[in-house]
Amino acid sequence: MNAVAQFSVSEFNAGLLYVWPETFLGLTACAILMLDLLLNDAQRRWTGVLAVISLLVTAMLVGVQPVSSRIVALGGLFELDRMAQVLKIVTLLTVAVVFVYSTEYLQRRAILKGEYYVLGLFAVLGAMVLISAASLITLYLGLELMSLCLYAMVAFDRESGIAAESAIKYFVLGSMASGTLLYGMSIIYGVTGSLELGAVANAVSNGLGDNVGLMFGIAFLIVGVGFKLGAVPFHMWIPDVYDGSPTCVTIFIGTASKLAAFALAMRLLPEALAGSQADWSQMLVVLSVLSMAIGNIVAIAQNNIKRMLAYSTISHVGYILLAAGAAGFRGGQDHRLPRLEHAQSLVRGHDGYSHVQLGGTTAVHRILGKTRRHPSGTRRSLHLARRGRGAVLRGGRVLLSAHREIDVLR
Amino acid sequence: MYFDEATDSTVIGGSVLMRTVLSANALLAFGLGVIPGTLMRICQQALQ
Repeated sequence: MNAVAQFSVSEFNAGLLYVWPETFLGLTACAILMLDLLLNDAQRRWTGVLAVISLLVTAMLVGVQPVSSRIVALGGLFELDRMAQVLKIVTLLTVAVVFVYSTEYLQRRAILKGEYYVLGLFAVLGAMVLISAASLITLYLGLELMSLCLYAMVAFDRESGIAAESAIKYFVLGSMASGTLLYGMSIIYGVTGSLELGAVANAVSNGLGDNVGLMFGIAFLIVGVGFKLGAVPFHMWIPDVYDGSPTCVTIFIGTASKLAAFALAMRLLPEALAGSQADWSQMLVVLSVLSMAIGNIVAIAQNNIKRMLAYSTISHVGYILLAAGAAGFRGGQDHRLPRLEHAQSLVRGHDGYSHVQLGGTTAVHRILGKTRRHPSGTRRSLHLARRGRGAVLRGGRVLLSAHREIDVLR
Repeated sequence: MYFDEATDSTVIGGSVLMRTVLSANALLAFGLGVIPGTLMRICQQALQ
């Protein structure tokens, strides 16, 4: 309510300066959608080229934004800080790489349609809005814009029964997660009386610490965030969706949407609910221990490489939550490091199996003899998969040792 | 599994662009693995 009351036209116009990259991306996505109507199947590649260019230009626009301190714009709905800037640039560049990998995959399966890129661009727009959210409303709007595009992308191969099944699973579980998150947000709003993250943080640190309603709200938020990230015990959708969706969509879900889910966790927990960190960090630690254990152990038993990497993702989510939960907000502020490492490793790992997918299979026994069919590529994929994992583990170790050092300094 | 006899002999390949990006990706992965300092610094700056 305060946000609306303080809203003025001049302030709004000043704020538009900060949402320029998002505006550009939204307008370009609409333009590409229109332009795609004029292209025939042979010219369809150009939609992809334009999409990649628009992502790179947007990344440049985000990069040149002067961010010296935290800027809150548009009546407290939008914020721009260094974390937002870095996460947005990484998201945009990652998706540009994903698009480059996708074109050929889609072409070979005769499902190269302009909608893939347009849905992807809108999903990125949603992720950007989420990353820069300064209010529970923008947070939810961004999340939904991204999720709805992803549901459609999973079902992109219309002829594939398994893709449709995955899309339905993803949609049902994703909606449930959104519902839980929304329920948690509404409880938080009821308890603190504000939708703005800054005002929520003030209310929580000024004597709301042990409010029962707040605890309920936090529990629901954690369940929602856990679902979106795919932490155990909310991980059941990950292997099915990763396996069922076209591989180019799997890469998208494994990278961009995970970065956005991380931003969601960061905005909600350490930023808005820093005052009750003791409560939510306990929950995060439990989720992370379960994710690391189950993700790694169950991955061993998989005979489908996409399912194996999906379980590997679950364990990576565990490392990230461990960092966020154990390091807390004040202690080890390095918990974003493994996140970025994770995104990198996903691109590395996934391009390995995107490579495999070009051969047309994901079942491990059918990749037999890949060294003989494409020696250099296989070695590269294998190295990449190992390297990616090593990098994340190293990220986790760096983080834990940093945290220990901070503990000693205290 | 990587070193067993092949059961499918489809040739695996890709366009020049895709190979280039994949190679750049691999080099970046290698670079970040060996010299992670830059990435770490960016992350630390993101938290200032």
